[in-house]
Amino acid sequence: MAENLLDNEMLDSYRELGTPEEPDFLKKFLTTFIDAIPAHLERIDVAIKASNFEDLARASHAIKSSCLNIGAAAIVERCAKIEANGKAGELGDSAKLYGEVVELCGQLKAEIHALPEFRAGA
Amino acid sequence: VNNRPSILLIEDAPETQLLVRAVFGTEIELVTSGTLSEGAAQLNERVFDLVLLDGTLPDGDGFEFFAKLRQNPKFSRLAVIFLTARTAINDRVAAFAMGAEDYVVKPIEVREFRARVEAKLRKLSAGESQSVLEIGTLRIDRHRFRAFRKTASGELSEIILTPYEFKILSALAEKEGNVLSRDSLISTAWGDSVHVLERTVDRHISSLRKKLGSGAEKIEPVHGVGYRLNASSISSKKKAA
Repeated sequence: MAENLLDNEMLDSYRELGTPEEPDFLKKFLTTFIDAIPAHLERIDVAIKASNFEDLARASHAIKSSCLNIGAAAIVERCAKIEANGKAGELGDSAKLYGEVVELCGQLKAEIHALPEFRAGA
Repeated sequence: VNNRPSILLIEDAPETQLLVRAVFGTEIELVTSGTLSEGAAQLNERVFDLVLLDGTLPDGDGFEFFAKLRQNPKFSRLAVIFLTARTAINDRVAAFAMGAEDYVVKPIEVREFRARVEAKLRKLSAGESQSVLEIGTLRIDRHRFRAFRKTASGELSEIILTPYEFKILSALAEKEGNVLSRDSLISTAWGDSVHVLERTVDRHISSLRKKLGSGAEKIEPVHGVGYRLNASSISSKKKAA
């Protein structure tokens, strides 16, 4: 497996946002994050197939923006390139990058599910 | 009475909405909109102390949205902080050139973000107390472009004014008891580069007087000169910037 994607320092700062009323803030935050990813990935896939550059830029920006908040630099970097392609009105290497993003999102999901908050009984 | 600052967050990422809500907890009243069109609807419906605006939304560009807002007198002073993943220097410069209060680049660093927003809210709160005129039972908030009348029970009831009516009332209130000429009112409300007929002023004054209703504060014509705002002399209290 590649280098860890999650930024633990960043996650710790979110853990501290838990309150007595909502002790599992981090879990809720990451669950919401993970749940939103498939729709964005699908939008990128569809945009690549349809050469819809505007949507390509927007969907890749959405993943980039969300991944920034958990420190997933490898995904951010690739989505930024796809976004730049979209803004330039070209596909370039978007399909290849998209494949890598899909793989990295899988890794990211596994890392999230390995966090203490997501282990059985947590 | 809800005295918490109100913030409109225009941001499509649900986890970022959650994060911002968690950062401020119950200290602020946070309203979220996932699109620019929803955000515009919220802004037209009520007044917010501050807007946190993403740069790229599903239905458009946050920067273009902000530029349009600025062209509308109703929102010309609206406090906006960009909260965006867009790091280009051109975007930052454009945001500040349009009058953004701050520019926060994602990822959200919790403590810094909270400190920035709170500092802005403190500044706005201080500015607001400087920008409110109270004339008798009238309360004119020049920061928010809104006018209110205090009811017998002490509550504030909003007087819905057009931007020109608001500017005229604000000018008259600032010089309470003094006569302002029609030319002076034209210059204040429309600026000096537009040709406005004096009877246009009279028409707006007429509408304004109707909206002010039967309260103690009256706009009085002064023959051959202009208008003045008179409050009942005993209850009149004026807080001016």
